[in-house]
Amino acid sequence: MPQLSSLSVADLFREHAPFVWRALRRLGVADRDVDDMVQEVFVVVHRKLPEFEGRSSIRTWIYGICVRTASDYRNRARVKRELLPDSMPDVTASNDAHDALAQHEARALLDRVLGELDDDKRAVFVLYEIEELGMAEVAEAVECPLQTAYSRLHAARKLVQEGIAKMQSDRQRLGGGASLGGAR
Amino acid sequence: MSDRDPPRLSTSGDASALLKDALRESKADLPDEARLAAIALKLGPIVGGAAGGGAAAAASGGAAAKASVAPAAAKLGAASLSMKIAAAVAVTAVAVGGTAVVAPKIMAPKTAVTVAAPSSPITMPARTANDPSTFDLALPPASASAAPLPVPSAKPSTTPPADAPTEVALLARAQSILATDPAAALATCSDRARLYPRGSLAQECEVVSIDALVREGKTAEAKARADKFQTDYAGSAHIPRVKQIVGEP
Repeated sequence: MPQLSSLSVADLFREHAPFVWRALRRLGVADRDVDDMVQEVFVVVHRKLPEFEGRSSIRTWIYGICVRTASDYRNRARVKRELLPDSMPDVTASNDAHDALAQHEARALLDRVLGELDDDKRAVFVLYEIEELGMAEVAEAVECPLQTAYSRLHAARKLVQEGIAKMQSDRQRLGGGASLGGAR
Repeated sequence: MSDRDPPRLSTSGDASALLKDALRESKADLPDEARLAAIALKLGPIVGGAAGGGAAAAASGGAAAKASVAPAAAKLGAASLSMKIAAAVAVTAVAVGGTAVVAPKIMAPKTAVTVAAPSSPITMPARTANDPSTFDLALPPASASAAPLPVPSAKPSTTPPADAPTEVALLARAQSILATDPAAALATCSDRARLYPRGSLAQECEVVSIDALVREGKTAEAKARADKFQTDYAGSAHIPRVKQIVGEP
């Protein structure tokens, strides 16, 4: 029933749009493009909702669409390295400029490190560590066997931790980064 | 989460403080209501009107379709104008001689508006006589009484202060925080009602309010308001949703 479908998409938007936005950002969509990509996700949600069979939760299903949308986006952009470091300071809730900058820096650091991962590892990492799906749901969303998801998570975590540590030591060596915390 | 799932890095001893900070900030990186409202606007009928519903597209409820025409309708000064007919009004305003005030703005090239006013524009949805949201274009605009925006005025004026959030923004905000903070959603709806006592989005906001009350566990109050909704807005297409929210068959 068309009307029920569209009403449901409105509900889904209300419930999930903020998390779709957040996930897309961490999956590599630049700040200037993320609003458009959120829109694209919900266009797909709307189109495919009649096909949704309920095998997974709707949340998992939507995250799956996010992963594929972000992947398509990155393939189209083909400027992976340039996107992430260019992000302007995000508008944050904090009025304290120092806090805002620190928040932005921390996120930018993670985005940069995540940008070094391949799509598969990044997706598993983001969905598990940031969006906090269970691993079974993560596997469902990225459409891989559960064991593969575990492997990707393990590899991603290792790479992220190494990447963060390296960035941190680079910063400290270059004289910055004291405000970011975290002892070597 | 299964037993095999490892502890997440944000709470794990394995992660450096910096990584934990970064993860925490990433989790907190959520869009504000204005951004969400803007996205909803662009989605148009997908989050509002019935997709491919033809004439029904103008007549269905929903956030963004309403959001797209609400400013136009509000500027028309339509007291208690249901969003269901706002789209039709937006298009017919030109046809109804003399009341086409902000036609350029109504027809503003926003995707949502264009789609929300489909090719069956002149359809005035059938409204029962006792439907309080019926808007009779033949009525003199002054009958809008305390409505902030006189219909025939060439330059719409608003009662709420210039820096007040738009009615659309308030509704979108209430909807976006409903799941995470129903108390705040309820408060936002009250703000909307206060700022826009004759606003066009009363029904939609009331649906959100009832939903928020249920989420807060105030089922008796929710039920009372749901009953009132069905009386006040008899025939409204929101009624199935309202009944669903309060668990009526």
